[in-house]
Amino acid sequence: MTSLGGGAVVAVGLYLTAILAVGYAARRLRTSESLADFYLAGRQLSGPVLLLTLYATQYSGNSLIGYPGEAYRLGFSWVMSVGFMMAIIVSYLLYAPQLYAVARRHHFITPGDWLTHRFGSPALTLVANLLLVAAIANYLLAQLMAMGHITAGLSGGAVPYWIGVVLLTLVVLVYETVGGMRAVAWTDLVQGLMLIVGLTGLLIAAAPTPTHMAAVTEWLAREAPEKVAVPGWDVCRNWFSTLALIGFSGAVYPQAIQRIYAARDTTALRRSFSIMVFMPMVTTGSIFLVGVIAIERLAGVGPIEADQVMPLLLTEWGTSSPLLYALSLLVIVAVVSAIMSTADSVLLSLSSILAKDILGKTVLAGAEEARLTRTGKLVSWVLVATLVGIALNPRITLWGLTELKMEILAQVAPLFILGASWNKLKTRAALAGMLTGTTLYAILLATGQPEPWNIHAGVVALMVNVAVCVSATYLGQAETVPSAGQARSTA
Amino acid sequence: MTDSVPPDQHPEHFPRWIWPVYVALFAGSVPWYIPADAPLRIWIGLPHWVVISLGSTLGVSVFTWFIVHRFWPTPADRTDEDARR
Repeated sequence: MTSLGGGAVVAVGLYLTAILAVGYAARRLRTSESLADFYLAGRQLSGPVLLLTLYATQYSGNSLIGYPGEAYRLGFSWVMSVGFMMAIIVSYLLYAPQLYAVARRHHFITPGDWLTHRFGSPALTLVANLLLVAAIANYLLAQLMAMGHITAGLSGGAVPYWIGVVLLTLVVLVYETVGGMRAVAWTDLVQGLMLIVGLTGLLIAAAPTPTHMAAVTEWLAREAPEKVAVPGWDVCRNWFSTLALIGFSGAVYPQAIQRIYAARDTTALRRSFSIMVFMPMVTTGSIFLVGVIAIERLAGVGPIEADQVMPLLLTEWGTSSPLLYALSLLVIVAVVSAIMSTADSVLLSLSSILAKDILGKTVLAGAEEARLTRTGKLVSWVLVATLVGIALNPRITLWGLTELKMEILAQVAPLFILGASWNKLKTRAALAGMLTGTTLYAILLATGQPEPWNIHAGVVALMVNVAVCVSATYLGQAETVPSAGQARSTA
Repeated sequence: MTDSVPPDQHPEHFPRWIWPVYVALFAGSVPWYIPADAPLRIWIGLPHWVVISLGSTLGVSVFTWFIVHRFWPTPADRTDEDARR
């Protein structure tokens, strides 16, 4: 199998140049060196920009490289991916309107600002921030790996994995350092549009018409019947578990929370959500079908790694006809867009948490905002250098990294979802829940039980976490005489 | 802050009845209720249980679009102390 050759290099090169230009243009609009301007674009994201930055951030290298691989591996049961991406949107409804209102009044910048405001416990905020950093650093690592996979896969190995990781990471670092959230949101706008164009190209190339899909389904029924069969109860249990895991965890990505903060007004937020609700069907649904088609399409290739499915598919299409070659180039740019748009958002979020919430409250306590902003930029470069080092020696698949990240995030989710929607939740109960859930998750992993009863260890831990939150809150109420303030808050 | 929804449509939270609807729709998207040994039936090119799952998820999309437009809450102001404990 040959690569897509020089055309792919030129297409990606043009795209990277355009993205850098957009990043520099965004820099000209900055109004100050404040944290709010750098990390939230001055809280002025309009509906369309907010929609596309949420979209481009949510659909990542995992979506375009990892998910087709899972569909290839599992068959039709990967239709669960459409549902769990939808579950994220529904989970937003549990807390986003309340969080947005409070964030506007109190000028929040990081997720930690909400935790400090809601719970008033430095210990809780620190533990939650450490978990958030661990989870999204993991996520960033997944994007860096995806950069390498797509480069190596599409060039047939001519451009090595490590060059893809280093080059694309460098571009992200440059435009993010010069323009902050404004550059990230603007590039996300371009990247989101490229993603839509690329998906259209993918659908034209894959042609999942009912007739074609029927032929694929019948072929699968003959050659790999387990990939067509109705899932058994054990798979369904795992399906429910995945809905809960991704639904709750995906809704509390720090970078998504910061986009809620950055919305210009309620109307912008509401309008962007009202369109986002259709994106799982359009995006994940299309990717799912392409992954299933790949099972038949790549049947002659022999055993392949899940993460190599999309690059191989694009390469094969690219050698079939000039039209498919052109469409493949579009998809390549879309894939690179999806990876970079997630990487930049995650990196910006990590930088804000480390600079403002961790360094800004310890060694840089009392520092001016401009200094914290500069520190955040420096932290980004140091952090990425470390992660690039890890990405160059990957020992886990993209989906594996996704699950790990989600299971850590799940233990923080109650602080946002329960915290915003349930006034009774007490600080000590929330802290106890998070610590218990995280400890249980670590024990289950350490004892070789990542999925007891086909339920993710992170979901088992989340259930215990929530149970502790609820029971400790009620026990705490029973043990203390309610004050006037407590009576008011629980009314 | 601008908002085009009339004031009388601003609740504090989404109405509680929407959550059982979500549970039902998500439960419908997982084919636990279809026997594992059911014969293969192909609807619009896909196994029938896949079409049912996608249909339920589309239901979630349409339902969410409706409630976002109709019931998006605008929480009332609360003091810091109220929010904390």
